[in-house]
Amino acid sequence: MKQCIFWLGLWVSVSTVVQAAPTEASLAVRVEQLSRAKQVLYQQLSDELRCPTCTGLSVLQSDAPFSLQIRATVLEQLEQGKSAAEIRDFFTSRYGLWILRSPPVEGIHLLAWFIPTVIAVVGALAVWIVFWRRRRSSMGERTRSREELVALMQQELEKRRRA
Amino acid sequence: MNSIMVADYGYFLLALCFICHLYGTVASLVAAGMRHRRLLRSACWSCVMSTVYCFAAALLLWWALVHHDYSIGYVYKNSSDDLPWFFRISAFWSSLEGSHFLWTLLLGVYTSIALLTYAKENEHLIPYVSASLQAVLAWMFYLALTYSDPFVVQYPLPENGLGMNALLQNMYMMAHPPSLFTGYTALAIPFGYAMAALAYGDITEGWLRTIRHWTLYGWTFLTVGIFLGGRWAYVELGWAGYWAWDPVENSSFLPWLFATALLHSLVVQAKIGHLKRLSIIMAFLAFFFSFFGTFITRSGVISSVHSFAQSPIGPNYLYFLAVLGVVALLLYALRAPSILPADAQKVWGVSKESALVVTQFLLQTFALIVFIGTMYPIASEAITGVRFHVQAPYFNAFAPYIGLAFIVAVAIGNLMRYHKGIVPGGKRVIWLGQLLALPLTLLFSVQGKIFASQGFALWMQLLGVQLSFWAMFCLSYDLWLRFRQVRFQWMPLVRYNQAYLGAYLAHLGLLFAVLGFLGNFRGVDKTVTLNPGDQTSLYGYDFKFERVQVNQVQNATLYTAPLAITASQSGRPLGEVIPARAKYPTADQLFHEVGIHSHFWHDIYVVLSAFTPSESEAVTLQIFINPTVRIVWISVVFMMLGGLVAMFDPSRGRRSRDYAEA
Repeated sequence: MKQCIFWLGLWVSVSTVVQAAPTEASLAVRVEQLSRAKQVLYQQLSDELRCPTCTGLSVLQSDAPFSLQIRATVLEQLEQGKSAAEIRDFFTSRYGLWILRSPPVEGIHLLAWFIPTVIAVVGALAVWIVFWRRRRSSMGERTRSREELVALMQQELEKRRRA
Repeated sequence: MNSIMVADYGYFLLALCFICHLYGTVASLVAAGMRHRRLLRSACWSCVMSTVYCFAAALLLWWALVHHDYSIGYVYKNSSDDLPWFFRISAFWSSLEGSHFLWTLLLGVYTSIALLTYAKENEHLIPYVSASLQAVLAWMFYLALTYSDPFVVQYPLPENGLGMNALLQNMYMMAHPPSLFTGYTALAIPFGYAMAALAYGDITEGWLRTIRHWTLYGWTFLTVGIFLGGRWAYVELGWAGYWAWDPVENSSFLPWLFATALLHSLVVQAKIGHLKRLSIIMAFLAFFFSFFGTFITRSGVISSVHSFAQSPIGPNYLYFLAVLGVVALLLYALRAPSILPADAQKVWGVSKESALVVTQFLLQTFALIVFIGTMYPIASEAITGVRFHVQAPYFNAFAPYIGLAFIVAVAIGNLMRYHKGIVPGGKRVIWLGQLLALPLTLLFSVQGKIFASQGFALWMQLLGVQLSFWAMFCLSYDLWLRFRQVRFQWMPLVRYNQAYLGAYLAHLGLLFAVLGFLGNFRGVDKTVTLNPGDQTSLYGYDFKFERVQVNQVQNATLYTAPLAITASQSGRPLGEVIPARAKYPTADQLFHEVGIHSHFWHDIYVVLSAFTPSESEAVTLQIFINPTVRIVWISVVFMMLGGLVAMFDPSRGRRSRDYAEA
């Protein structure tokens, strides 16, 4: 992770020399110029990439310099007409899967998606079969009426008296 | 008072507490073995005394904070001369040692209350309750003496403190940690009783009533605490949201899920005697995960906004969790078979008890997903060598389905009766409810700006809103049925089934919360740069910016960019929204003070992204329209009221009442 931040830092500093660092305002102006479909794509993609310096936030939600730079790159590639898959590939090949906010659907990471799904399905089936579908057979004490209980107790008392 | 004395007395008092609890643990165990009542009383009083000492130590730390006694390292690191008095008080829990201290203090208080006020019918359990809780307390005080000592002396005496973390200088941070910790520590009592039930070998009715009260108490505070934390994130962090599935948010959510599961298994247990062992497991897990949450917060194993610096206390929490887990597992394996099965035979089928099992399943599945996501960084590092942080998109991939299932379970479950199927007229209500919900869904979707979403998300949102309103109708039909049962008189229902009214309110609160979440799934936002005198408009509002102002509020220097809001169409002035950045004397950074103008249907949420302190320069603002956030905050009031109303039910938990009800 430290390595990633280092490379990102290098990239940010280099690109700052080449072109002015993007700001929230300059990005907003550029987003305005995109088509509606691409605006949605921009929101979607930058919500999938994590902010490297904050915790828990996507680059869309953060205004840290790193995040603005990543968003600028997403924008740039959208302006060049690249597809969502190409942009995702660009980021994962450059920074690794680390940049993503949810586990990719491949390799060992499949487990993260697989386990909850399997448990949800199997568990639901189990609950259905074991509990819900079973016939009600309520022979518990609650179904005994009070009179019956009283009668039982009196029988018991009677027995003891005889004994 | 001499300042060094504060440190010495404080440390001494903590040491006394540790010794008291060590004695208390051993004495309780011996008392349990020998059935020695006076020894048990001595153990209980040693716990009470320890709590008194601990409170005295806490007062010392507060005294030091209020009087700027920087000879105490904790005071030096977490406060400064400029801090207003109320933040000096809340600085108590603004970092590692202090919040550990607060946790311990609250645990001590609740343990003492539990040991002093136990019911006569629980007397046979108290030695075990006392032993298990005092063992936990002894460990907490051991940590307070070694790795997390709040009374470390700072030498030489500094002129001024380093200052309190500016993000925590917020009203909500005064209430969030005490509320959350109250929830965590109150859940320790059900844990103690669960251990006691295992050790003793059976569950009695008094057990159920006591554990129910404490769980409801903890649950209520936990709920409020979680929402207060969300509210804090919303007003302080400036990313227009309140829940990011951050590891520590998750770890406060896990005990909440287990506490909720416990409440529902207790209902089944009270009514038909089943799910006893599940209750024990849930009581254990609720407490285990509150500890787990504390562990995650303190240790920095998973980076999060809440992680204080890496601290050697981390591994110690982990050892404790491991010991706790092993002890509980052993105890369960050895003793659970001795717990008598329910006296009612197998029931289930299409009935309320089955619906409550479905609830268990949903809550536990949700907990599992949250757990996997939270532990993923550690698991992925262990397996692949790369630390992979799982964030919101992962959780959001599952949460909506679980949420929908919850709504359906709440609606259908409440239309069920024990041992019977659906209530009379229930099927009709299910269909009629859908019809009645339609206009409300439409109203909500328009006002909540739901049609701003597209595709699949839009359909999911519409479905969720529709089902939520439908569930409200189903719940209310059930309420109506129960009113009819008592010929529409308030008093009998309040007197004999107050818990039901509490549950009604809490479920309604949950549905409101879901509606709120669905509404602010998508908002609209805009980033603009405005020169003085400029105007911009969004979503039917005009915003006019005059100039940047500087004012002093308490210790913070605020750079504000007030915007006058007017309705675009009518030109009616609606007030002002004041986004700001705050500069604190002890920090170089500028902190967000979000401007929020709140309506029932949406919040206008403005963040000051960039500005220069000069009056003639432009500012960059992010303006968000966040729909239905207010509804989320309203929902917690319902849930809290529900919890309280249910807690004060005088008769719930008594088995005898169930005969009368049938």
